[in-house]
Amino acid sequence: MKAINKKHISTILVISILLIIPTIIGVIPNSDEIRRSWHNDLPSTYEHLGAIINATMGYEDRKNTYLHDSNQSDGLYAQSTRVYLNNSVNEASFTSSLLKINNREDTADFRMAGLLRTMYLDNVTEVLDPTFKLQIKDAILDFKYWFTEPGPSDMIMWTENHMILFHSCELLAGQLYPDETFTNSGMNGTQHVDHALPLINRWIEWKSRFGFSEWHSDIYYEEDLMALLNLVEFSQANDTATKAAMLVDILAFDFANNYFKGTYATTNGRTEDNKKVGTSLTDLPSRASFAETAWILLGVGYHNPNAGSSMSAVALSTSNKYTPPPILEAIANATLDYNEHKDRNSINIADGASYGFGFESEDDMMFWWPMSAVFTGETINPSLNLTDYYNLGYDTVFNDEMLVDLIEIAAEIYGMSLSEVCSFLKEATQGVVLEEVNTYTYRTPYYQLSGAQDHQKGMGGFQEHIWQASLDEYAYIFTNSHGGFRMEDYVGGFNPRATLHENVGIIQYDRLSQSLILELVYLFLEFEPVIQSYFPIWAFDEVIQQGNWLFGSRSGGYVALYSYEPQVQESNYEFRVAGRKNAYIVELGSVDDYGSFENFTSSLLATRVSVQHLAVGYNIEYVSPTQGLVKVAWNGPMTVAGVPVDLGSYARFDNDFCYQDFNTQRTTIEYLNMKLVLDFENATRTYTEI
Amino acid sequence: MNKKDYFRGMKVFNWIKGSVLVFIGLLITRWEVGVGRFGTNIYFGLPIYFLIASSGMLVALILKIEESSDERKTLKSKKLEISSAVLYVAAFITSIVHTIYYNLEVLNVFLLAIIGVVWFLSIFYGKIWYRKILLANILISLSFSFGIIYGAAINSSIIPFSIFIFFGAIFLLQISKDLINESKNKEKYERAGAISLTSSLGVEKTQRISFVLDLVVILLIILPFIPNFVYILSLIFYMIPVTIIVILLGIAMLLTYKMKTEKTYYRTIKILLRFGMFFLYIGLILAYF
Repeated sequence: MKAINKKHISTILVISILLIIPTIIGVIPNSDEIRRSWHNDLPSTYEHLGAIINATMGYEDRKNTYLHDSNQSDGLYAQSTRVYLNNSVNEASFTSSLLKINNREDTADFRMAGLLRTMYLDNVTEVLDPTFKLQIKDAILDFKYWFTEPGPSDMIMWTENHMILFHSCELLAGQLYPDETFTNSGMNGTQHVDHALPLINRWIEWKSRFGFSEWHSDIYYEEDLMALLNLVEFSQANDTATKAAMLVDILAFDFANNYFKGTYATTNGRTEDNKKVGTSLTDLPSRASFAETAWILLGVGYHNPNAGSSMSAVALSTSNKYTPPPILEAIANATLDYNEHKDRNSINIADGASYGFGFESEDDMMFWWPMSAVFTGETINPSLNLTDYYNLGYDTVFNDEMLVDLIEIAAEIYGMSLSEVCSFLKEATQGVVLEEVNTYTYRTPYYQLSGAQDHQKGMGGFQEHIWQASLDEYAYIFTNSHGGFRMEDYVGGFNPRATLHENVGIIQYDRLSQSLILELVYLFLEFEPVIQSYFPIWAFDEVIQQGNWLFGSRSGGYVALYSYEPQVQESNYEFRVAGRKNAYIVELGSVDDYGSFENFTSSLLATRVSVQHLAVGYNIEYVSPTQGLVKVAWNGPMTVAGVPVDLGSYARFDNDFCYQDFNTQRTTIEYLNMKLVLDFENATRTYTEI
Repeated sequence: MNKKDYFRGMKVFNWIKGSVLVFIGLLITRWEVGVGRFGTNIYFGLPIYFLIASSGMLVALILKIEESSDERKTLKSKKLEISSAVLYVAAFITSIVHTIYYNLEVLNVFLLAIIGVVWFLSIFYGKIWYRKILLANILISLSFSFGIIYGAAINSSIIPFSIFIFFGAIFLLQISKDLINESKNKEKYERAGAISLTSSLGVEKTQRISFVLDLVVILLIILPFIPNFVYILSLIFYMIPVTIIVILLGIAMLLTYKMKTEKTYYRTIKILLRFGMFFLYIGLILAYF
């Protein structure tokens, strides 16, 4: 019996020790201070990649350069250039687009906008073959311009960019054939004009008051620009054309404030992996879709002679009516070395009533749907009603019919109404909504830090890119908590609480707790429990990893990224942290501040970082070598040297050149002796030089 | 007590049950924390409570040995006391580390401290109490059912009312089962000279207590169906296992009522109560799915 007792006791002791040791080891901070470094011999600029950077070229020169290169392209949109230049078109370039339009496939509206431009330009030059022109005309007359029209389609019509494209296409088509009967709708052209014009004006009014819900989108501003430039050039309603031109000005102002060293180095409401992630100098991240347009407008970025079929760049370069006010290019040049820019876009669903928006009518839904607000507690029922009433495809409205099924099943399981279950699952259903966002951009000659301040923290995303620290067009870093219903790998994950001030940012990730059903859905969708740092080693002159820090240098600019949890190198462009919770600190510096990269790294390694766990998020104190004590938690203010940082709500625009209150319709931009006044209420666009 | 009795007495399965209840407590209160913290609390909370439950089972075992006729019981008790203390201290220290490192609210450590006090009092004063078997049964039941409160306390210092309801149901159901067990083993206890509830109250009264406890358990688990009284996330998922539990306990009650001294039902009743417990676990997990 004695032996048995001993055996039992020793077994218990062994079990307890076995259980305790890994637990204790798990919480001992990783003291691994091994220093790793990487060096690259990079060119000082990337002109060898075929780019033309010429800051001395004026707007007209850039436009003509683009026209020249576009004329060589066989892309669909470049055919507008050929027509504009009175050259013959490549009819084969239209084939796939006509098919897409006739089949009413998604994004057919992009192509229709290009076709209409071609047709309008051809009215002047008469280049197109009459028989071929008839094919295009048939496609225009048979197109479905809005979901209220009959006929099936797979086209998404109600995101912000699609909406203005469809409306502008309807207007232009109606103007083009005022007396013809449109075969799909049964309406004549004039009726289409009457239908489209109020919708266009409504869309423009919303943008002028609330900005763009697809904020700083490096994809979808391209579509917005195309639609707006078509309106500027061809709308017979002068007020609408003027207001469209003013929105183009506002987008150009956005580019001036956010472009850095050739790239749109900013937070984005909607973007994609390929825009953000490059794996090497031979596999670079794609440029913003409107990169050529930004270059023509302001001279920012560069021109790629092989990118001659950009839809908005073609629209701009073949436009005779739109010319950017010189003040915008002057601001782009004046801010090359320094800029601090804040802006606000969109509104919160909860604030809808205070802006006059309900959740019942079709008009209400047309405000909320472009914000991807279809699944929220407030919008699910009217969205389903509208979808059923017009027999719209669930896949087109709700992204995937399966999601509606899941919501309905969840409602049954939980014994809740659809609205209640959507509210209960708001981390997902509201997380994807492009609600109020306050974006911040801080620029010096060496670096730019940009981000969405304290935006929908802990919620699941769709295509958001919350922050980015850039040293040049490829040497930039950002983080992402893997996930997102768009199924991108590096953007659109679970939103952090990003808080930025000048050259310092603190970014905390912690997914809010979800229904376990939703967690199972996340497992099914293969959302990995990892937080990624995009840190392209290949793009920096030098990269050092030491302790919890990652450092990078490029052309005199320095960036440091602290990760509370240890980071593991995944590839030559990615580091990862296992888990769903982590805190990052980013600090930017330059050779002017520190003298050398070595001084920068040693300063940061010597600084004090205190990270304390909270039930959700962290309480962080960080002594920045440049800013002093920075304090921030999951909730509450961020303070720098004891002073609270303004995290929002911001004005519509707030920088050295413009201050505009949110929800107002008059933008005044001033610089030196130049002044641009965009008055949307009175449809006046006034540029003066004193 | 032979080797087999020792192993049974340690009730290893209850250690696991305690950890599962910690998970349920964490599950019910998970909206108080982020997913990251929820995961960490599972990672720490389950093994911590595994050790607590095991130490509790050893305390109960000590009391049962003390009540036995084994001549070397003092020596055995001492060794088990040390083992129990080691397990408890290991859990308590890990809990402190967990609480300090992750900046948890201190309630969870406080609750473990209370458990420690109960264990201590049970060892040093339970030995001289004449109803050691009853105390041992209470300790066994408490050892794992308390896990649901501990789990909730790791996430939040505000413990929802539902936690106490379910704690009560699990605790009483286990006691009920133990009473049936006592009734079944009355003669065995008497042979060993142990004083059980059955020996002092008689089999009939013990069974009647078990009957009442089953009834209370049924009332507790159907409380969530009263609107706005106890928050249940998924009533439908909860309803299915609860219906099964009510049927199982109902049959158990019927058998208990009819049985009187008929011993052949003991095994059936115990199985019914065991399954009732199992479906209660399932119901709680599904209720907060």
